Amino acid sequence: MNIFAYMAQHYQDILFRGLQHIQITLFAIAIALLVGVSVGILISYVKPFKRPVLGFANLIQAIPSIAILGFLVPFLGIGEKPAIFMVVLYSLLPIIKNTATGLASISSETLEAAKGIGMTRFQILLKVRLPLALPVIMAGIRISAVTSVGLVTIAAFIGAGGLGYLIYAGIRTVNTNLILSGAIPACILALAVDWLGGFIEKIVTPKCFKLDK
Amino acid sequence: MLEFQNISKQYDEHVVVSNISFTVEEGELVVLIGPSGCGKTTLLKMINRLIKPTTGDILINGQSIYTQNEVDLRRNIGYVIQQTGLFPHMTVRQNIEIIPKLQKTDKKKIAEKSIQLMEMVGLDPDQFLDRYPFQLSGGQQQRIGVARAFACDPDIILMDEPFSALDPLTRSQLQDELADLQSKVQKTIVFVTHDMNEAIKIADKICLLHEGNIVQYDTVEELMKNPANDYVAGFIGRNRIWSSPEFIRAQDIMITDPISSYAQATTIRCIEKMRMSQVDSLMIVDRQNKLLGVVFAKELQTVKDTHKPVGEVMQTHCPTIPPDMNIVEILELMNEGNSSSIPVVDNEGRLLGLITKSSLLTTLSQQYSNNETEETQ
Repeated sequence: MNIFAYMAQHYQDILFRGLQHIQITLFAIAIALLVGVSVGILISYVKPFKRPVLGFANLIQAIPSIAILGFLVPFLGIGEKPAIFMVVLYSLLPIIKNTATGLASISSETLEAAKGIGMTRFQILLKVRLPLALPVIMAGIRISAVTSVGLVTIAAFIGAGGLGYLIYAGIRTVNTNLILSGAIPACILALAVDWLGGFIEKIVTPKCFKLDK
Repeated sequence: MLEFQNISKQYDEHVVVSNISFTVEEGELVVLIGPSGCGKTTLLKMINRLIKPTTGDILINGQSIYTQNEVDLRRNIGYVIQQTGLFPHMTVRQNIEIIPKLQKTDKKKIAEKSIQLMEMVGLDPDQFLDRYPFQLSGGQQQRIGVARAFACDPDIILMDEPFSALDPLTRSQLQDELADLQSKVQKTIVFVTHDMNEAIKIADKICLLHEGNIVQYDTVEELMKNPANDYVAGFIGRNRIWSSPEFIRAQDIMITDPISSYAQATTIRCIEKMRMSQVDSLMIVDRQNKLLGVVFAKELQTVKDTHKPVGEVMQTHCPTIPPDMNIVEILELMNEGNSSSIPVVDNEGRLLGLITKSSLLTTLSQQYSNNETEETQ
C-alpha cells in the first residue's frame, strides 16, 4: 500500500501519537529551560560551581540515552515520567552552557558602567546581562528542543508513547508503512521546532545585534 | 567637597597608589593625569567604590563614602567612561533614563529631563532619543554618555578618559563643550586622561601622578610655570606654555631691576648712567620707588642745559602695565603704542620691572632655543 494512503487511513492514530509526542517534548523543554537557565545563571555568579556543574552535564551527554532510560526505570517506573526526566537531563547541557557563555560574553566595560551608575547586581542581571545574552541562550534552547524531539522517540521503549511508539511497533511487525508514519511526522516535528526556535530567537534578539548585519 | 585621605592601594606586593591625600573643592574640575599605570584610574574608581582602597578614606562633604549605601552613592555620582559605557541593547532614551526609572521617578519628569539633557549636550531630542547607540557616531555616543551622567543631577561627576577614543577634531570639540558646560553647571568633576593638551584645556587644577604618588597638584598655570621637578616639566613638555601664552605674564618676563634714577639727578649724570648700563631709557622714580616718568637717551642728548634735573625733561605720560598682564596683551600694547619699553608697576604705582622689545624678543625666542628638550608626553 502507498505510504500516504496508509497515513491517511491511520491519521487519527498518528495525530494522537503526534500530540502525545509534542506534549512530552514541550513539558521536558519547559522544565529544562527553567532548570538550565537558573543553573546557568548560578554558575556564572558562583564561580566554584562552574566546573563541576558543566562536568556533570557533559558526563550525562556522554551516556547513551537507552542506558539512561535503563537506569531510570527502577526508580521512576515506566511511562512518561522517566521519559521526561531523560529528555530534561539531555537538554540541560546546551542550555546551561549557552546561558553561562552568554552571560560571560558581555564586555567588562558595559558591566562596569552598569555598576558604576548605580545598578544593583540583580538589576544588572535583569536589565543588562540577560537581554544581551538572550540570543546565545536562545540558541542553546533551540538545540535542546530539536534534540528533544528525537529523544522522545526513543522514550517509546519504556512505554511513554509518542511517535516512537509507531516506529517501534512498525519495527516489531516489519511494517515499513507503520515505521514511516512514525518517522516522517517526527522529522517534520523536529524541523518545525527548529523553525519555531529560530523565530523566537529573532524576536528576543536585541535590535542592536539585528541591525548590525 | 571631595577629600582623599591617606589613600593606598596594593595588589599583593604591587603598590598602585601610595598614601595619597588631596582635596577637590566644590565646583572644581580636577584632572588626574599621568602615564599608564600611575594609578589615576584606580583613584577615580575609588570615588564610586568600584575599587576599594587598601587603607585610607574618601570623604564627600565630610562624610565617609564607606558609611553610605554603595548603590545610593553611585547614583549620586555621574560616571562617564570611554566608548562602551552605553548599553547597546537600549535606545538613547532608555540609556539616559535607566537610573531615574529604577528610582521610580515620575514618568513625566523623566521625559522632560531627557529632552533637557539632550539639549544640554547639543543633540536634537526628536532625532536621537529613539536611536540605538550603534546608530550614532563616536562623538554622539560620548555626548549621550555625558547626558546619562547628568541624569540624576549628581554633585560629582567622574570621567574616565571619555574622549580618548575619538578623532582629534571631535575630541577637541567635545573638550570645548565640556569646558563651556562646566562653566555653566559648576559641578565637581574628576577627569582622568593621559593627554596633557586635554588637561590644560579643561582643568581648573591638575593632579599629576607618577607611580602611585602625586608629583604635583596645582592650578594649570602654576603647573606650567613652576613645575615641581624635572619629571613634571618633562611631562608637561618644556615649551607647553607657548600653546597657552595667556599664562605668560608681565612679571614672568620683565627685567626685574631696571636702571632707574631720581628726578633730581642732572641730565648729564643720567646720560652717563645709561651709557654705563648700555640702555636707552631710564626709569625715574621717587624715594618710595614710585614711577614718576621715563626718559630716553635720544631726548636727553637734545637737552642743552646738562645740569637740568631730569625730572623736568622726563615723559610723565608713558603707558604702564600691571604685573599680571599677559604676553598677548603686552604685544598688542607695544604694537599700538609704538614704544620700545613699558614699565611694569603695581597698583600703587611702584616700579616692579621693565619690559623692552629686546626682553620680549629674548622670551619669545626661548621656545625655539630649547626645542631639543621637548617632547616627553
